[in-house]
This record gives sequence, structure tokens and C-alpha cells, in this order.
Amino acid sequence: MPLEIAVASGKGGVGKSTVSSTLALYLSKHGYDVIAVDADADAPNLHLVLEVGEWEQEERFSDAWVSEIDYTRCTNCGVCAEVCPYEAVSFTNGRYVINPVICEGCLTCALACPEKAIRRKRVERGVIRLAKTRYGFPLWTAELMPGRPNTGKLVTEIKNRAKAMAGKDTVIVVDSAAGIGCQVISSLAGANAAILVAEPTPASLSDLRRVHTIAKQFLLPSALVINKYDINPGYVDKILEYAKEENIDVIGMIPYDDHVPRAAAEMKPLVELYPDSPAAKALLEIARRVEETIIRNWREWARRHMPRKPVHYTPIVIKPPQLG
Amino acid sequence: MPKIAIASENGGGLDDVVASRFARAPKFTIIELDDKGNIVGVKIIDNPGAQATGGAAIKAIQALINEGVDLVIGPAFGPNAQAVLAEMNIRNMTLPAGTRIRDALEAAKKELGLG
Repeated sequence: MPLEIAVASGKGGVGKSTVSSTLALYLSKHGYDVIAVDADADAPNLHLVLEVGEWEQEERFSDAWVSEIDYTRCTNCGVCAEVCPYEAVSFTNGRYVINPVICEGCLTCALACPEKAIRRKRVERGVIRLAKTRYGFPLWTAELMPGRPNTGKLVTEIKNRAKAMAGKDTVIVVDSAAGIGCQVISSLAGANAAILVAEPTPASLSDLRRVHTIAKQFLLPSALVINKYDINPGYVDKILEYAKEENIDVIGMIPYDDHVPRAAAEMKPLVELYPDSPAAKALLEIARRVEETIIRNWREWARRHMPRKPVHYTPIVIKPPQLG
Repeated sequence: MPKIAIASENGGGLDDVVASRFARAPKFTIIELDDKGNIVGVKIIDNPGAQATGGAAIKAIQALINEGVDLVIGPAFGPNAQAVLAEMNIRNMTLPAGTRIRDALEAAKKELGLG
């Protein structure tokens, strides 16, 4: 089976794409069969870093629904506008109109409409794309339309596409979205290892704990990269302390380096454009460690950093009122 | 007679393997055993969670509850899955992805104290 590495952080903007693109580049240059997956369909940008000229394959992903009014039946009674939980129906130019961006396709209006004048239609959620990066390896990515929520299904879909073209020694690098929502859960589900990225700030540590809780629930062994460690050195110990408590493998620290935003502005990978910059050196060392300790000795590494036990999740349960 | 549901990677059945994820596994293989641990029946069902845009685990477990399953096997259980399994008090165990369903069944028998 291919090895799947998910890069996640909880907090946004801490360096997930920089870490995942460097890892994919490094592994590809060292003879690995690599597939990159950008699992952040809200704000995909791995293709910008990895220099994608054109898409090899582009496919509409239509699994969302919206309601639509059949005006040959509509009597302008306004029930739909009253019942819509999302306030997606407004009275415009003498008739009721459903705003397809706000509509969630819940069908409350269709159930309530006395004239049965509302039907559901499929709409596009976004686009799934495949490209060959300038560095030779493929990249799967997806882009959502504004107002269409990201879903674990979409992430699963592109991860499955990557798996379908993977050989048994392929390494799949998944760049997850920020947050701990459905799409991040799907990025971590089925992966073999998580690489978590954090900055030495309270916000980043708080989000790291949250995303790591999900990694633990999936019994994922985790590694940690501390980015911009020198911007707030006093707080690094707090992050390291958490990693130690949780048996997370700290695989490197990256200094603050303004070559990083400069490379981003040039739309080129940092390690290609400024390979001798301090951040690039640290990133390459991290990639080397991932290759040596995680990929080449996955079983041993996973055994050592396996979460002891999945944390028990306390569900929020909403129960219907008891009858009788 | 106990029923065991195993998240299956491909088409399901005794020759398949444990899926790499539970809630969005394409199929569940449901195996019914007699009190001695002999196989009485094997059924493969589509996992409705695989097609869910959200709350995949909730839909998957609902389908398994409808089948009257006593033990659920997956590679790991995510946040929603754990919540529902705990709330509904459903017995479950984890086995690595890629484990053969036949081997998973032996582990399940041990868990249930059969055979």
C-alpha cells in the first residue's frame, strides 16, 4: 500500500503548504514516486507553489443541491420565505426568488409549499483537477465555488484518485486545510502519519491540541515541525512540553526568514529559489528526517509514536423530548 | 447469534481486506456467526457514509444498527464515529487497514469469546 502523509496544523498560515511542498519536492528528487494532494478546496494554493502551468484533467463535481421555484405553479403565497431556515428566499421584483448561494438544499420550502411548486436541482460544488507540476510529479487539487461548503466527501474523492494512480511504494503527501472540520477529518482519516506544524504562539498551540486530538482518534502517529521558532522563543518550550507529553516526534524547527514570503511572491518553491536561506536549510533537513525516520522505517517509527489510546470523545447529544 | 460488521476496502466479502478508514469505507461485510463461532451467513452492504457530504460516520453506523450488528470493526474511529458508538453502546474494535477479513473474523471471535 502507498504511504500517506497528512500535513495539518489546526491554525492557518503557519506553514503547512511550505512544509508539504518541500517534502514532495525533496522526495521526488530523491527518487520517490510522489503524488501531492491539496486538500484545502476552500483556498487551494499548492499549485501556485509547485508551478502548475496547465491542468491535465478538469472535472466538475456536482453533488450539492439547491431548491428552485417553478413559476408556472407558484402563487406568490410566500410560505417558502417564511419557513426557510437560512433566509435564502426574498421577494424581488414582484416574485419570490431563492438565492442559490445561500440555499443549502434542505427542502424545507418544498415540504411547506402548498402548490408543490418547488423542486430540488443538483448544482456544482466545485472542480477537481489534476496537473503535472514543473517538478514532474502529479498534483490533485479541488476548488470550491463561493458559498459551497467543503466536505469530507470531496477530500476523500481526490485522495482516492491519488491512491488509484499510486503504486505500492508511492508516497502521497496531503496538504490539509486549516481548522478541524469535516475536510480535515477526511485528510487525516486513512493516512499513515501526521506531520503537524505549529508556531510558538498560544493560538497555534491551542489549535495544535485540537487537530492532534483528531489525529489521536484515528490512531495516527504524529510528528511536529515548529515554524518561526525564533519569533517567540520563550513559548517554544510550551510547544515542546506538549509534544513530549503526547509522544509526538519533534522533527525540526524553522527560523523566521523573509526569503519565505519573497519566494511566495515569486511563486516558486523556497528550496528551489533560495536553497541556501536559513529556512530552506531547515526545511530540507526536516524533509531528510521524514524520509529517513518516517518513510524508510515507518513500522518502527509508528510503533514508537503511536498514540497510546484514542482519546474518548464526549459527544454533544441532543435528545428528543421523552414522550408519555 | 452475533453479527459482526467489518469496514471493507474494495467489494467486501471474506476475501477482501479491512478498509483504510471506517466511515467512508465503500462496503461493510456483515458476518453472522452461530454460538460456536461458525459462519452462518455473509452479507455485503453499501456504506451510505461513503456518499455523505457530512456526518459520514453517523450514516454508516445507522446502517449497521439497522442490520442489528453486535460488533463493529474498522481501522480507527473518528470523532463522530466514537461519539455514536459510545452513545449507542456498540461494541467495537480496531484492526490495521489491510488486515484480511478472514483474519479479522478470527480476532472478532476471540473478542466475543467464541471458537
